[in-house]
Amino acid sequence: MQLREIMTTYGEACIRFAYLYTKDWNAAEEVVQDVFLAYVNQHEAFRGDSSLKTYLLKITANKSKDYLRKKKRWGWLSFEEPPEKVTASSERLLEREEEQQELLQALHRIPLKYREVLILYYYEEMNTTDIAALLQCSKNTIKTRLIRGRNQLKAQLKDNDWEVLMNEEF
Amino acid sequence: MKNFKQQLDREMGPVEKRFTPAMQERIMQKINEPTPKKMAWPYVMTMVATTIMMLLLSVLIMFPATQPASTATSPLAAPIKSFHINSEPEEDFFVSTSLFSLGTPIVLNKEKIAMMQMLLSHAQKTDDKIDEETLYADITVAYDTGKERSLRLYSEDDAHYLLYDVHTHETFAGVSPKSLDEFIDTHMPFEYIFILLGLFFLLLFVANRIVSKRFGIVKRNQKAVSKKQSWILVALCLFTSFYTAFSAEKNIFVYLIAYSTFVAIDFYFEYRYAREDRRYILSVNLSIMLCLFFIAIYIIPLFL
Repeated sequence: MQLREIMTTYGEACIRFAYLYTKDWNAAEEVVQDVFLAYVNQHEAFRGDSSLKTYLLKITANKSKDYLRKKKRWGWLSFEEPPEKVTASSERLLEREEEQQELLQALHRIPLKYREVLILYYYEEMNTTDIAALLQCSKNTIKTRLIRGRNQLKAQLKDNDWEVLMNEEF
Repeated sequence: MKNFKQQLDREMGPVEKRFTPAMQERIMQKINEPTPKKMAWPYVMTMVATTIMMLLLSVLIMFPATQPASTATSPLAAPIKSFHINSEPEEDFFVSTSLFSLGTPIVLNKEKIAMMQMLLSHAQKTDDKIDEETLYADITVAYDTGKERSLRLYSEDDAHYLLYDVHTHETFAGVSPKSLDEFIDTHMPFEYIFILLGLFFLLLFVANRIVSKRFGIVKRNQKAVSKKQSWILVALCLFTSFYTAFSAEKNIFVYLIAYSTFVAIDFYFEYRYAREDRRYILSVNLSIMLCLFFIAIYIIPLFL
């Protein structure tokens, strides 16, 4: 498969996946750039044990974690402009935005190790075996994180009418 | 019931919005632009390590271990400051001492130096030939005057002994009031080795856990990237074990070469073929722990 074709096919999935990690679209864009650069440099090492999408998602997960780690270490050195003053109208806008992004906000408040398994299971619709292979831990660890992640999400969401919150066997 | 995936997609925005054609072009541009040549650190490190090892090997060849120290004109019983002892001597050649020989450690223990002094004082020149006596140890004695003497210690029982000067071919006989077995036993007691090895593996385990946590290194089911890596590392371990078991000299350079090669190969395979797993960092960790272990193995016997 040509690189352009791969980017067209999987680019959107990668950037959304990266956003769910980094909570920032600019950062997600940077991460996806790094992902495809890494793919170009290392695609010979791809043994074909998993699908190409899973392979790219794995790189995306690792690059996103690298970004988060770097941000945590050097965040104090950021030269970003200070946030604007919140006025009454901008506050209302923010509230409306939060309502519209209830699930996203709740997800972003959960610790990363639970967030990523929820994303991989419910958003990427992977099974626990593939998730365990991607994150390189045991299936039992994945199941435990899914249960705990779901409990944390439940505590965050006001409305409990979510299929993700229904009890199920993993 | 609300669907997780659909809702998230809705909240993240329309499908076409994020990964735009413009972004795609930017990525293609970045991929196609010539990247500045970066220093290939793994290859540089491997070459530096190989050069150092070759230099060390040359030193090893230029100063072979079997040259006995030049004899002293001092009397046999002159005051000594220290001595080296090899308690697993080879019949066919005298394993002389050097700073790099783990098999002939320097003895600084005062009691043992006193015992050696006593053996030298009690020994008298004799015309007896060495016949059925067992070779116990090769000793290089360092006198206070700075001279040295290379002696072979023979005995047929625990008290009577013969000292044979390797250079002048003189033989000295004496009777020791104390047991010779205890005197020549310079090996670290088995309990210490057991404790040291246990400590080494425990510290390595703890250090690996800390480093893994710090650098985000995930566990991996396969220990090695490839079978080739496993075979080479196993072969190196076997070689080192055989050398330890069968070499009298136990030259530290050999261990240095073996463990440097071990670390370099492990690092190379991990860095080249599984960089994202970051397990090459654990190779560096292992090299530091091995260094500390060798220093401990080298220093602790001095004080036993």
